[in-house]
Amino acid sequence: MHIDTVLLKVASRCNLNCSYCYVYHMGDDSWRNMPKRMSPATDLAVAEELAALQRSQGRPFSVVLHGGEPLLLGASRLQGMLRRLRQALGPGCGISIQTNGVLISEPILDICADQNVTLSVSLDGPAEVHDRFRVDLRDRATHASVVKGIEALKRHPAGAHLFSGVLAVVDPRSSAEDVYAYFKGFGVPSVDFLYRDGNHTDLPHGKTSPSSTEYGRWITTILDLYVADPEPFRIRVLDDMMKLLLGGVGVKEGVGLTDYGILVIDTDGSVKKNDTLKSSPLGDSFDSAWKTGVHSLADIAASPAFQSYHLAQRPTSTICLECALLKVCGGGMLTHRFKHGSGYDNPTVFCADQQMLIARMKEHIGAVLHPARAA
Amino acid sequence: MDNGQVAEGLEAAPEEVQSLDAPIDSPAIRRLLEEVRAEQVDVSRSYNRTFNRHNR
Repeated sequence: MHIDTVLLKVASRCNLNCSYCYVYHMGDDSWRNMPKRMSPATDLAVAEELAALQRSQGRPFSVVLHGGEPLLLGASRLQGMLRRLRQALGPGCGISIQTNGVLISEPILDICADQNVTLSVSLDGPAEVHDRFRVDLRDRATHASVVKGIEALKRHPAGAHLFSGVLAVVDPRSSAEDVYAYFKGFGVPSVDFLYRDGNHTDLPHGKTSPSSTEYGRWITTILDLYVADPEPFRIRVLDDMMKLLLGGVGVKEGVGLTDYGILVIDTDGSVKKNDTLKSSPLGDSFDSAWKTGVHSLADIAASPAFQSYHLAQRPTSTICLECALLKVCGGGMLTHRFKHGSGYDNPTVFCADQQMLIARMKEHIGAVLHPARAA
Repeated sequence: MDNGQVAEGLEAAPEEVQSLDAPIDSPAIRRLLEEVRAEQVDVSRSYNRTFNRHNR
């Protein structure tokens, strides 16, 4: 296996308090024991170890500054960290920041432009959708602040390159038509829609049972609008799944059967499992207390424990293994398969939703490839 | 068709994707077809799986 994404938790705290957050509101309190921000000593050790990992595996990877809110580092520390990372990794590794957008500023954008670092901003849609869950620590709406940050990003001389897109969490009770129209009018280059976290034991928001299709109906409406749009922006999750149906390759975690190699480094330099597993009762910690600067990342990635964790992403449920849609669905995110009693040996809790979505994709693609049959 | 039922046999065979020259009304699907064709030629792979997580 090889690592293709490294997630750096450069800040363990956040300036927002989104009610659906898997770090702070899904039963895992490990962030309380983390330093608030990654120290320069830790990020230097991380940069050196990542350079060694790149040499060891002979291929680059993406590095994503994540959190918490990564821009809580502040401009000065962010600049130092990005310089060290870029110097260690060279131009071959993509470096990006996943931010809530509130703290975007001209100095930060200049730093990102200098180091060829792109930004993706979390924005769930129009204010009435976004502000329902994405509030600050005093429960105040954040949409206007996020939009202000995105406008600064779009205005920057390098904005077209720096702004990679928007990440939107789905509220199936919202109007998909309104959300699509909002993003269309806002002029975003790309949107990636994420389902809310949950599992068979603790159902995702808005889902009444594992067999219900609230998310499927919502995302299928988005798909129909997307396919009919004469000038569509990119929708990553739909593109990936339809590419798989067309015989192409997907790159998104939780879709398709390509293994993905994700290495998560926490704010104190410790190595963790896929952080979305915080939302399931089994958590995201390895039995071994691996730490950057003490243990080699290349050795960690090659260890039996890491390999075992890596292979756990492959679906094991007989329902999945016998399903004709597995090569597109991929069994979903590991954390969404959890159920008390059977662990992760289940289809995704969004199985019915994904069946509905893939069926509609097949209709659209079939109408293109086999117009007579689809008519 | 009932959305809960999957129509079999509508996935694309590689030769279909390569040889399709009929006009495609949907720009989104046309764009994907062009990208899949390019991938089949140079097998390019993106390393970027950035945008798949909730941010806080």
